[in-house]
Amino acid sequence: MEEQIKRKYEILLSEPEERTDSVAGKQVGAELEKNEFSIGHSLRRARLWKGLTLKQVAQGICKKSVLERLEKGWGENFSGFEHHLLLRSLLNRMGMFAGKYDFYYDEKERGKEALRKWLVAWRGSFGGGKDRNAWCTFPATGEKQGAAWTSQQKQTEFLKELRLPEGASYEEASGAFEAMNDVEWERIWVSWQKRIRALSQDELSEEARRTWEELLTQKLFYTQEEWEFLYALAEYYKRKKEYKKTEEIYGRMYQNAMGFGMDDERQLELLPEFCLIYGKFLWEHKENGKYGEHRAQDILMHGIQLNLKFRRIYFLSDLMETYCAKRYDMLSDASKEDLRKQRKSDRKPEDSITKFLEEIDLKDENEIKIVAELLQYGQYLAALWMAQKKYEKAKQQLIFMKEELGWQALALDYTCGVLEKH
Amino acid sequence: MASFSIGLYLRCVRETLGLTHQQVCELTKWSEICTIENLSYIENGKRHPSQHTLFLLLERLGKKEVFGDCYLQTDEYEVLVLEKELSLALGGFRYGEAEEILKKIEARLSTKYLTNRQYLAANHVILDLEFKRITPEEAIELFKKILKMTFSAFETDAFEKAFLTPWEAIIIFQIGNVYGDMGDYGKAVEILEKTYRNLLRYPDKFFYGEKVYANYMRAIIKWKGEMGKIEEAFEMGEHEIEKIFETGYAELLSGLLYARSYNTNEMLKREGITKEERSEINSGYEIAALVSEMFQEEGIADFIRRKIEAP
Repeated sequence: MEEQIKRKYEILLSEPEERTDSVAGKQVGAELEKNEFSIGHSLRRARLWKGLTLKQVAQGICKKSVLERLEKGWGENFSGFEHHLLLRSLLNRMGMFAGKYDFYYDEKERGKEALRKWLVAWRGSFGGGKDRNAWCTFPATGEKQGAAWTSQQKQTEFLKELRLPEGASYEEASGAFEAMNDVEWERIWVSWQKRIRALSQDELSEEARRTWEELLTQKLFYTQEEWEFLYALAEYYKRKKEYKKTEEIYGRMYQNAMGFGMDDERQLELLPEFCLIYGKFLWEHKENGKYGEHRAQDILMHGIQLNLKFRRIYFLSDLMETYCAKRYDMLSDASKEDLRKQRKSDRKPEDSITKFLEEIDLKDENEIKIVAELLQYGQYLAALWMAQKKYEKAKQQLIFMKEELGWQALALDYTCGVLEKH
Repeated sequence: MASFSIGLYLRCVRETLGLTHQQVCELTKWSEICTIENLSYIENGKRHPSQHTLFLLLERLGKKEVFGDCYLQTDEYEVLVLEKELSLALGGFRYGEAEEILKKIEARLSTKYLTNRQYLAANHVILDLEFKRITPEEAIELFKKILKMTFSAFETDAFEKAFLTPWEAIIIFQIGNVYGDMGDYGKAVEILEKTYRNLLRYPDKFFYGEKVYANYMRAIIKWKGEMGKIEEAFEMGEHEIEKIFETGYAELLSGLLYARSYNTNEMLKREGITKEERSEINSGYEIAALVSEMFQEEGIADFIRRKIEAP
């Protein structure tokens, strides 16, 4: 080891005093003031970095004075379930992922949180992403995520917890939950659930209308409950065939999520599923012609890129499949015909997409770009399906690339052999 | 199975240190942090400590710094942004880029704090090892010293009951993998499996995050394969791939897919590989390479494709 490197580690590994674990009360390392260790400090640090006032962050959640007390760590001990709901809303308001604070729960809070998640799943939840249900997966039992919350077993378990018989309705269950937990943030949470539930049953109350108008004025990020409300509202208008209203709501949600400084984890929690839903909607209702088509593609691609950057596969296959289908639709009929002709020629299978693109006879540069994307993402899609052993989907994808795009790489020959077997 | 909670963490640390409730609660001759009864309730999850009490308890147990809501002690939010970028660069094997990011973090992070020094030191070792500025043996020694800054129960009988913070788990992960890279596969598997069992004591993973569990399991699969426990590695790999498509967390997916084909190759070659089987193995390598390209993992796709053999 070079002297310089040795010296570097000597400095980093040095300690002001020797550490002895066996002696109680010995401090380890440097001083950390009490007010530096607190969730309040994290809230304040994030708020100041984002240049936000107390009023801005607290708006629609709590009084400014409550947030101020939280930040200073005065009298707030985060005991009690209601404070977790408050913390979560404040973090979401600043575009932050709240999941990592779940470990502050004690057993009682954990039980209430489980009931809450079950009620949300039963009601029908959008935009939850994978992580919202992640902690319900027990490695020992291998219980699958997502399905866990609404399984018959869980239904019976949770109804029993609420002292209700089997077959009790959602309304009875949420009423019992509300009666059991009569504290401020609990009441606020339950009222959001009621609003969302009403919308899913095609009831647009005056309260819901007012909520939408208030959300339009919100400058910071939406909380999870606000986000789910907006999904439900958009779906309500879709069912009523009021597509302009639906687009207005989706547009507002997207604009909100794209605001400056949303955490990656929070983006991953919200956006992949949303980009799929919004992108598909824009394409299906492209009243704005080419503008609508391009916007749909941009949004789908946003969902794809977010996954790839952070090595996730949240709705990734669906996003890629939808994106490729829409991009293919944008090719002219003449170009599609030209590409189909490629497979009839004596061309040998190519290894490289670049070489293939140089040799095809498309005149329009934009269309060449589309073909390049179709080949690139098409291959990735086929690979993902093969990895999951979804052979039929993979086969369709490779047949499409061969028949419609006239391209078959040597490497994919191996894959075709495997697909034949399955 | 017990759920993780702050109370459980406090109890684990107290028991690891061999301290009684009284010893932990006592502040001075005339005052205490909390009553023994209260501490017992807290440890059993029946009562939640105030932040003030929690702070004093952690200070008493020597865990004040390691258990903040955020590992790095900084007032600069931007440092946390850089921390994530560094993690992404390392995960994508983009070591040159990672080195540049680490320099930026180092320029802004105060080395007054223990956990900051631990974080910087550990990342320096990862990069120094990658660029061959230190030997694997030196890396192991350094990682062990870095771990000891906050955790002294590694390679002791107390390890089983001890409680690891996420970053301590990451450092032990690095130690296990360096043993594996040195060819000591048995040692690698022993360290990683023991630690993974420790991490599995709590079913809710938010404290550790999916990444830590995933990286551990995938490393265990890799080294078991290298040890010749091919069938076992193959079965574990299949289970992990299935989990990826359930959780959506795809870290090291390309590695698992590569291992799938590699282990299949090893299992079949004993009896001779047919043309059809060779085609299936090659297909698996190509799929792994495509996934690696998709996630922009530098250099990995080429490495995988070199394994493709003519039928």
